[in-house]
Amino acid sequence: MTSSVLDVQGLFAGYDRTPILKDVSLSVAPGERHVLIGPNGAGKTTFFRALSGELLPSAGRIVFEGKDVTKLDGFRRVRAGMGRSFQVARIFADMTPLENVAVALEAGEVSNGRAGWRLATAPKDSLRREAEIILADLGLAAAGDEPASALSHGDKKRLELAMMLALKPRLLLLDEPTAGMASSDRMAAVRLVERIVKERGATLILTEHDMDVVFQLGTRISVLHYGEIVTTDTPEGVRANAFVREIYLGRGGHHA
Amino acid sequence: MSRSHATRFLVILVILTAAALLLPFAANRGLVFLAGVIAINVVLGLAFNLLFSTAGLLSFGQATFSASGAYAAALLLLRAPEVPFLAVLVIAAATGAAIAFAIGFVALRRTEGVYFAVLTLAFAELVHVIIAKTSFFGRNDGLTGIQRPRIGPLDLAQGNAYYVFVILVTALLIAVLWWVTHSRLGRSFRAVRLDPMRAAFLGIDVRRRQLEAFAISGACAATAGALMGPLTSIVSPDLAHWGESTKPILFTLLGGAGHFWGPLVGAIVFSAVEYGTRSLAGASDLITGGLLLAVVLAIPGGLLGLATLGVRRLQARPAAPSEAALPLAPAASKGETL
Amino acid sequence: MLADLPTLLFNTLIWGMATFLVAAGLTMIFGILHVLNFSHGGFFMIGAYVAHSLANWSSAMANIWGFLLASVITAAVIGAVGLVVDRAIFRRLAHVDGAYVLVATYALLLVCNGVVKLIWGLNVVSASPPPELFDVSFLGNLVLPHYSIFVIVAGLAVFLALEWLINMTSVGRLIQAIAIDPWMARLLGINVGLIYSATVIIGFALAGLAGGLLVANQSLSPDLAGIFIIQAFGVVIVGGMGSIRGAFLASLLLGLADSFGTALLPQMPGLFFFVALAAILLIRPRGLIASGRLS
Repeated sequence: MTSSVLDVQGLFAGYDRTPILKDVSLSVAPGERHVLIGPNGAGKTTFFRALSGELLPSAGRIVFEGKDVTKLDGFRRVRAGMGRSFQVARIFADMTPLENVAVALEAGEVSNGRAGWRLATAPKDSLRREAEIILADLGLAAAGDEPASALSHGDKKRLELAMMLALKPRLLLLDEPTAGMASSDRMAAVRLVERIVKERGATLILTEHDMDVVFQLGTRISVLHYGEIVTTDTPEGVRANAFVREIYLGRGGHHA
Repeated sequence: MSRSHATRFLVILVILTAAALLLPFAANRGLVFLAGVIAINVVLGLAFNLLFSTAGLLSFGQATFSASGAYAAALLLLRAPEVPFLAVLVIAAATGAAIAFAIGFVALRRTEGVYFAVLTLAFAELVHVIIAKTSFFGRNDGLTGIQRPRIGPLDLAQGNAYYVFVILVTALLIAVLWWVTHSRLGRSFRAVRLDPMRAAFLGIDVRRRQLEAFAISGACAATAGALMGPLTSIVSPDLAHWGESTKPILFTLLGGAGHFWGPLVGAIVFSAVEYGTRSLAGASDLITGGLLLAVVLAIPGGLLGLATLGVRRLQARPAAPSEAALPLAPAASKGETL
Repeated sequence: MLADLPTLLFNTLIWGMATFLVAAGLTMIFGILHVLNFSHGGFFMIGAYVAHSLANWSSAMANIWGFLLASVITAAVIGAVGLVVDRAIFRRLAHVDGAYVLVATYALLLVCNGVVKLIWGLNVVSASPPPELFDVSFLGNLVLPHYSIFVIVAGLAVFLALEWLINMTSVGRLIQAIAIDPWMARLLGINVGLIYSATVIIGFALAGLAGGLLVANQSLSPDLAGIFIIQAFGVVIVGGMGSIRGAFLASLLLGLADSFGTALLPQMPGLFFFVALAAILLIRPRGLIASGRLS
């Protein structure tokens, strides 16, 4: 049990006492790239919100790196080493891309208690350089006074990823990282995520609609159906699973 | 780039302070007194705008903080004259911060714009009732006979000494507020305002940041309020009335919420309008209300927003995302209903 | 010394129903337009002054029917003002950030205060109720002024009328549909703008009606708006923002706190209203009925 990065046991969660997730259990091993799939309304988003701490579960346990985080708010889970992106990229639209990453780096320093007192108002030079490196690594320009709101859709997603990476999370939660992208951008995004996860040795949990992305990126797949995990298996195993074919691939076709 | 930013701020602050300090050579006693009141009001406006435009919190209860500072200082000056005045100001600041913290602790359970505003208003009225009904605070009559204090060998009752002191302290408070707004702390306040959810998932403790913003604003407003008693020689429950809470809002919106100096411009322009129409007794509500309504409906960027826009037009540059659009941002950003 | 229980409960009802009368229109407008209208207190106050003037110029206060008629006329006058305010101000604020809308309605409240000071002056004036309501009945130790009974009955009647309007009529169903999802309502071909205007007019008319009915409940001064709007805001917040039923319950609950608190600590009238407000919000931050829609 302790060898897994994330352990979810008997999780119930929902809104206004209507449970959406029913008795969900899941174990994610280090370095795994775990994809949650399921038809619309299966509870992917709810599960995601419960994992990240946006929604507190009504029952069950979530253990991250051996530490019980069930009752922790989102920001405390981030401090513990979890990172999260959103379906629609959330960035600070009025700030420049560099400021966005600088805020993330500063937040990281404050969380670690390494921030110290500082009279100068500008971010530390070391943080600024680090932000520039992260931005460059993700193919974003660090220069310019243009606010982040002027970025293209794909660049906003990459900026959000940059902010997340600034905190050096050991577990990445990506909510539909390719949502709203053209198919050419999609594969580029997948390669980027794949590279980053490998370079950093992080563990990845993501939800995804696009089956190409799911099978390209995933090393393990869990299928959610009516708030329950129907199966957790390798991509090949999921492909071969008759029940999954019936509820998922059989009905809605390729893009359920 | 940001070093020049700081330099520019300091140059403006020094010019403004010098102008205020030279005023007694050019104006009569009445105008100098008014300038002292305006200086205090500028700080109240800037303290409000730290909450509004930087942290994204609409406080309708700022009078609580300025009044708590005013009463703390007045009580100490009257009952414990042995306490040095600079210590009195520090105690007043601490009182304001503590009350802001207590109110924020409850009110920040509902941070969505309107709810928070009304909760701060309700608590401000609670404080108003307590001040106006407690004999310790002099009930409705307030506390009178507040003398201008000494600071070591300096007697602030002499000539314009107290006015000079007020200008120097307010300049210091303005510098503190500028620093907070532009520092790492201010950046995290802005992050919380722009998208509380994103901020939380960067590990920022959103509620704590909001409480800090509230306490800093409260401390600055209370220090400015503490200067009021010795200036006017009286503090009364009117200082805690909700009408007082709306003045900083008016200054900020009139001058331009998206600019650091907006509340300063607003406070000066409003005082000029009020001074110019002082003979129209009873019409002050009508003027204040009409002005505020006109600003919100016609120039939501305030006077500085309008000026910036005008300068941009003259320079005929391609329209950059204007700073004038900023004031609409506080809660219009995604985070509002989260 | 604690006064006897029946008197305290009677005071609860008076406070609760008087506040509910003011809060009803505020709740309506908040429930549909999501505008927390500061100026509601101002138009309530203007309503009270209009009713007072009607009583002075005519024999409106000669009997209870004249009094009721004067209140209805006041409601119509303030409702008409609502139409103007909706056209001139609310519609322009449709796409403005909530903080600015709140400040705009506050500015409007200041304008109301200014208008009252200019037209009716700064002096405190008061009106007596019509003779039928001037009497007092006794029930054991309990003193029951007829006018207070009238206020309680009026509050109940307005509550029942609004419940009927919202839940039993077709207009009410349209209003509810818009409160829940204006976009969907528009898609279904409902004239949302018209319903918005109607809501504002009804809300303002309720403010005017409250002003008329409560004209003899207290002395009139330019402070009246501030006192009542804060109580009404408290009721709307505790009630769950936009729920008529919630506002009704909250009126009674806060009335209870006010009447018992004032009996416990007579030197600080009004204090316990705020204490109860804070306490309730600490326990239930979303209010009593957290529906977010008109119900």
